[in-house]
Amino acid sequence: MSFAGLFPPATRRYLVTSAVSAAFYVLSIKAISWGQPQLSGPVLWGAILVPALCIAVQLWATLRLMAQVDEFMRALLARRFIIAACLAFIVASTWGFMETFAQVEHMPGFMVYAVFWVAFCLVSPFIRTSH
Amino acid sequence: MRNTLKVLRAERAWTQNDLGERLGVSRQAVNALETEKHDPSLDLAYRIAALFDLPVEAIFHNPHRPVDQA
Repeated sequence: MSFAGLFPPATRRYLVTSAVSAAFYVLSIKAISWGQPQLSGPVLWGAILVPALCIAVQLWATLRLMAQVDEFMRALLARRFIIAACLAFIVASTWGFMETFAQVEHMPGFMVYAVFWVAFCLVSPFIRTSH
Repeated sequence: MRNTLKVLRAERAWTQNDLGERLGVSRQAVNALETEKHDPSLDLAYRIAALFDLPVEAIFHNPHRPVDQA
């Protein structure tokens, strides 16, 4: 079965957009890490905006998927999204308290996004009803 | 929400996919309705009722209506 026949159009658009944004995200981080000693000023700031834009595109694709699937899938995705976001907030703020008061190692702020998706994957098997 | 969707579907020898296509929802949504994992929106409930040519409450049990009035 082809890729086109395997998924409904909305899911297909989501997967393609996600794959492209993830590829640009990884490549831009690699490029910035590699070029950081030479980059400065507006070029550096512009380069930093590329992975940030990839995250925005990925979130937009997820919200667009929610708008395009049927009501049951929308409810499932929304519940998973909200609970994963809550878990990411909890992890990030708890880590922040630990950094401030217990001198644990610093966690870069951009890791919150990865924590969110890990949480999304972890909660998804347990959220199978819309109520 | 208790319902007779599975019976109505079986009477017509439709698969969950068949019913989903007729209603414009996914097979997973039909399965979720039949297994009471999803309460339909009013719009979807009306679409289901129209498809089977039955009143909504003949398909979906109304938990708020006293038994003697059902």
